[in-house]
Amino acid sequence: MGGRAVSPGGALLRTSRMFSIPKPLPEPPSTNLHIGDHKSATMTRPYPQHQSITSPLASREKGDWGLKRPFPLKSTMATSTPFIRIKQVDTVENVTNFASAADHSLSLEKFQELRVAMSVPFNTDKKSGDSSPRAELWHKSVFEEDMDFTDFQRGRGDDRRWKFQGPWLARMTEGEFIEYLNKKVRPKRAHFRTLLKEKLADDITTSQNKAALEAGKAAPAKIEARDISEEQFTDYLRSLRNDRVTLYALVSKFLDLAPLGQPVGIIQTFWSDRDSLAPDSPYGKSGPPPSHPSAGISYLRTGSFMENHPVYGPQGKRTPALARVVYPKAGPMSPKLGVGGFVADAPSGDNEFNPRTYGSRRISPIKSMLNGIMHLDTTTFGGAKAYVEATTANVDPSGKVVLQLRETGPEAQVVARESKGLTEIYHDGPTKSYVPTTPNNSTGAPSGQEGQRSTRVSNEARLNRVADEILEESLRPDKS
Amino acid sequence: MNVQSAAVRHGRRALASPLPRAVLRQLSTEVKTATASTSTSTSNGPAQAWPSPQSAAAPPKIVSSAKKKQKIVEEVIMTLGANSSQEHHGAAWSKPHQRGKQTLTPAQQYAEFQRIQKNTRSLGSKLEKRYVPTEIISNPPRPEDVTLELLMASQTHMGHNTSLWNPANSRYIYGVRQGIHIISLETTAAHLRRAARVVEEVAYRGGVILFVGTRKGQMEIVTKASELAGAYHLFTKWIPGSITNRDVILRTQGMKVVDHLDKELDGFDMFKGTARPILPDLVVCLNPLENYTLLYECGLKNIPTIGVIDTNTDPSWVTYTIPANDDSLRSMALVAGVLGRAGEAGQKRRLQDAASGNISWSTSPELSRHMRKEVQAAVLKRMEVMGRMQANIQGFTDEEMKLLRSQYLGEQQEEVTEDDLVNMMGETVAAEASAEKAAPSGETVGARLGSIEAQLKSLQKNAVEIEQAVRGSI
Repeated sequence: MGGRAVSPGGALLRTSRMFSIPKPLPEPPSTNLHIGDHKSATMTRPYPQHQSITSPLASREKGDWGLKRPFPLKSTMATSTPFIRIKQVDTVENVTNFASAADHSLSLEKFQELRVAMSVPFNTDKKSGDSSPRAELWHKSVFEEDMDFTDFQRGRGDDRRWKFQGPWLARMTEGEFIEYLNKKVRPKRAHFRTLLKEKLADDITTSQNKAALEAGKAAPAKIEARDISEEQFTDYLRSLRNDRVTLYALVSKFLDLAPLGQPVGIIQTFWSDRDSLAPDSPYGKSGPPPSHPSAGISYLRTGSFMENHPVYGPQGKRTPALARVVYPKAGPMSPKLGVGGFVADAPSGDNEFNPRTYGSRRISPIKSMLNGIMHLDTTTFGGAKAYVEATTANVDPSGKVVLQLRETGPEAQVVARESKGLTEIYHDGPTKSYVPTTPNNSTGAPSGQEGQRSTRVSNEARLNRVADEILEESLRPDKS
Repeated sequence: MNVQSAAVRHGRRALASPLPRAVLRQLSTEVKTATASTSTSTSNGPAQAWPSPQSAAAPPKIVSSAKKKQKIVEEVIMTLGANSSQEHHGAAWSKPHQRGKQTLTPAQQYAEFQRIQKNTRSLGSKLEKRYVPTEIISNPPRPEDVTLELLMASQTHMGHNTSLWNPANSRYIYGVRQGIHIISLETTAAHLRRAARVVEEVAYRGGVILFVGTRKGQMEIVTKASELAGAYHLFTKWIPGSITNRDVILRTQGMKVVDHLDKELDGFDMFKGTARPILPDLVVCLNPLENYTLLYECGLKNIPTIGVIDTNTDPSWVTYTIPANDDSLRSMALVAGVLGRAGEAGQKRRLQDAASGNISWSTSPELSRHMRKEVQAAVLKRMEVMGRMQANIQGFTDEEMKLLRSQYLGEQQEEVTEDDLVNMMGETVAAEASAEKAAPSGETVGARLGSIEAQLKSLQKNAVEIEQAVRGSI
């Protein structure tokens, strides 16, 4: 506040909900994934553009949404998802232009049900691993203080921020780039030259002082920018031309450009001692995100927590989510899974989603491949589904939420199925203590359920326990 | 009965198509049942006769397909005054369902519910419902209760698309937001208060107020407002010419003559049959855009109008503008409710003053003229009759008197009543003369009486004429 004095009604209006509806975001750029620029007017956009609005039932049945006019009951009452987005409060046709916002509202709800913490993108470039390889083992939250800032401050890695004044040059089209050069860069030439002159004067002063210190003399007078001759400056410019690293650093700092990926040919040691262009920007590879890297879709700081089951106690794995195979494996592309309305790559590694075997190192040859991975499954109703665990997510430069999946454990799957009432493994009756038998002994156990084994004894013991429970369950109906 | 204080005020007739409340009820209850029960006996019921939320909430049957469901929703008439749908927070109570391991019948479920309620009633915080949407109809705010917050919550500030504006409204417009013009809340409040003042004074002076709202959903708004203000309402199309050509269009409509306490007076059948239809003294129009004809006719007849002016309406169409959003039902319900409350206050004040002897209005000129004419005619008639009686005493023989008696025996009753009437009229004149006009008019009447009595002795001729007439009639 503290601005211009406004009338009471004006102050009231400024705090009103209609005035707080944000401006719509621009239309998301179409993905280049599909050839032919596939686009549909009704498809769910990668990110919501309009605010989602709802109204309580008592008002909604009267058509009252707090806007210009009552809304038709036909479309706003005959729905279980009363969310709308307002495109125009009033049009020249005297109607309010609105549409259902159930798509993004429900996606948000489902995403928050997954309880996924947003993280900064994984920097694969740093796999050279000089500083701390352990730091890359876990994901860093986007809300960490050393990453989550927008203002420039000396003393911290300036390029770790997520918002920059200048553009990310790698994403610009040729036309945009030329326009940027003409409109933004050229007019700043003179300013940059004066800055360079000051820097040159500083450099000369520093070197003079250093020399004088070594020679044991008093420090000479400070060199000002106006003392530098034109010839001296031209020489400096020439030297800068050859020193691309310094020049790039100066330019990108001057224009506040978003960090680019490191040029491949440049030696790492060059970068390490420069303070200006910090090499560890997480957005150097793919560009800075269009919004805060959390995109407001999740405010969890970490996914490192343990779930507690009321009966079975603390769980090693989190509650898995049921995923559907939406796109089979095509060449080098991994299969796509749909989890909670988000399409994600299938978890990598040796699992049921990955047909790749590491030669003869496959440990469990019985482990069956999920249907629909190699080719589209048209026989299963609703498509092939499997339980996965969502680990983390980040926002890519186009605004899309990229979900990272992980394979989940068999116990977690069983518990999740039981919570839905699909199986029943819990029983109140007396249980006999389980004596582990020899690991490879599979007599008396059905191969389909018992076959899933791993080398780790604890896992196997647990699995045996689960299988035992299942067996017990299958026997029970016969008794009763 | 006091003719002196009679007045034509409640011309009891629907100014437009006479759609009774029964139809209105039928419209609103159409959703739930076949509405066989809406008899005309309840047609005069107050607003409480609206369907209760409970009964309206239960749909007639369970619809399976989404299309059927949609159709039912489509048929629901949007009403602000009643809740038509019900929120389901859990399983229905109407059928038994599983709870834990046992199946509970509806009765058991209810008993269980009561038990839990009884044990937990004293616990927790008390939930207060701050905003009840139906209150705007059932209990509209008074003019002094109108706040800027209330106006904003009722969406009165939302104008039309900026390209649809009428520049004459620029003084009401606060700014532009989201592509629409925003009407200044202060202006709306000030104009609404002024309009409420106008309505209140017109009601106090016994004027005929007409609430007009012809858009869909404004029916209950205008009916409720007119019910509060003791006014008239119109929620269907205005029949063009109902003011300028009212002698033709409204010829068949009835009229009521009431006294200062709003009690109907009889004995004005003659006047009711001949008088011209009544004009409203104030017209409140919620949607001027659709009722230009009405406003134009009002302008021709110098009838003041109050109109809700949205940013696309010409404010010069109405006398008193209320700049507000005319599309939102809630906004209209607020405006009409406030004006209705103002009218209610005016009527209440008028009746209070009338009970203590202060009559805030004067009889309409037509009725006064009519009453004066009636009185004169009655006086003349009395003179005539008195003259005839005197002539009878002097001129007729016994046989002739007998004959006359036998002739008039059947009509004796009438003669008596006529005499009574004449006497009464005379008394009235005397009372009027003494109470109202004081000396001069009484003197003139007395003088006229004297002159006529002086003439009585020479009325032999008249008696003969009457005798001839009587014989002729035989």
